[in-house]
Amino acid sequence: MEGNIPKYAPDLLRGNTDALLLFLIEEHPTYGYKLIKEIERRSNNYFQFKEGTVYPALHRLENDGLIEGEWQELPNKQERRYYRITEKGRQVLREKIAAWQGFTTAVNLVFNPARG
Amino acid sequence: MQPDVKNYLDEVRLHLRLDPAIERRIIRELYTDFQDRVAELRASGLSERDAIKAATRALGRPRVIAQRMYEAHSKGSWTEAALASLPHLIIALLFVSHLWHNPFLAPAAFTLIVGVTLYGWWHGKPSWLYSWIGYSLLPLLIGGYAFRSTIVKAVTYLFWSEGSLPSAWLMMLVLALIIFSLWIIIRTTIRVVKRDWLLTSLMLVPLPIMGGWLFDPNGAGNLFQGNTALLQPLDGPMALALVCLAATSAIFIRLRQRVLKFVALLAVGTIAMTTVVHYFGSPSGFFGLLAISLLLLAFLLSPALLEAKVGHGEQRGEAWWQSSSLEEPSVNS
Repeated sequence: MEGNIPKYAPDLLRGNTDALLLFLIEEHPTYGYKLIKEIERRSNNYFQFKEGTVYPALHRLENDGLIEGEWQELPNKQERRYYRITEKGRQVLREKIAAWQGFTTAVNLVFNPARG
Repeated sequence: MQPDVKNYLDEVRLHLRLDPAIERRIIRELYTDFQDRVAELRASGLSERDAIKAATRALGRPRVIAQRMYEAHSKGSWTEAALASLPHLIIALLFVSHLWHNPFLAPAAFTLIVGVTLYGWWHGKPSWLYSWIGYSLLPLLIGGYAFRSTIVKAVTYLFWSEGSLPSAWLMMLVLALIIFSLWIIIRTTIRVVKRDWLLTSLMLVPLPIMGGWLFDPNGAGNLFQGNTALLQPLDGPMALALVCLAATSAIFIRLRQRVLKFVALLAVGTIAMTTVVHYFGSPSGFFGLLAISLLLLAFLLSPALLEAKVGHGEQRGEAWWQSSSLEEPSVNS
């Protein structure tokens, strides 16, 4: 992950890159560059992933059977490798989202005890 | 294709050291990403030249991408780890049961190993294959050893005119065997080095142990004279060393980071080989063992030098990763 982000953000994000990628891929099959741009757009440029982060993560997820890749040829003859989530990937995503929500809730309770 | 792009992708491929099918897929994917990025930069008003430069810069350092891609693909499954350790365990079993001189079991074990090696070689060269290749080369060494007296006789006659020349057909047979063995060993080693010198070290690691056992004057010299009982004290250390190699091969396959694979292989490999050499009874003393350890370490590192000479991968033209169809290349490791 690159970009002008707070000092501790990489630590927070570590371990959650997979969840971000799985979440976007679950919405609809997509490809690496689109994922990079989509994460940038949705986070208001907070997250600026580079190819060196996204593609290794995609390949690891595919090797673990969480996503499946398939080459497709566009009308302009350009090729792209589209990724779609697998059933195993969906289950892992649910677990990751639940873990993240539990974590953030717990942190918020510590930071803002009045809200608890 | 622009030279900047080609150089960049070549640099990535140079450091990938993965199965060629996976390398092809990675480079192909990075190239499509690059095309998307250039198109976006051009649409924002940059010239083609500036867009290409900016896109190349945005992709990040080639070594970093290659290293992360390597780590994404380098960790094998437990099944692959078990398969990688299996040839060491098969041979260790022959030693531990003192059955390595059985006229049926030892040839059957090597036939199995060669068969599995050929299967793996023609089915995508998965990462577990490389520990099998080393043992598949052993029958060639054993063949050379079996004909050693013929070779010595021929050399003595030709250079010192002493004794008699072996029969012509035997000479031709031995010569053919030597040429064939050297051809197979050199060609295989170069092919594996072109993929990854570390896999070559994994492939070669049993050879000094088995070769030492085979060529040691107190070792297999007795094998061909039928004095197998004299060799039995070596069976335990040999089995232990091979079990160490089996564990190392499994760990090697399971590790993700290249540097850890490197350390595991060189450390355990050198220790196992030095232990066996120590049991052979030569050389004695700390410095003798140290010298042998350094020699064995140099042997395991020699594929790195060979890689510097022969390079990585095969020479390819522009856009070598693009196939005529969009079918997924086979991915086996």
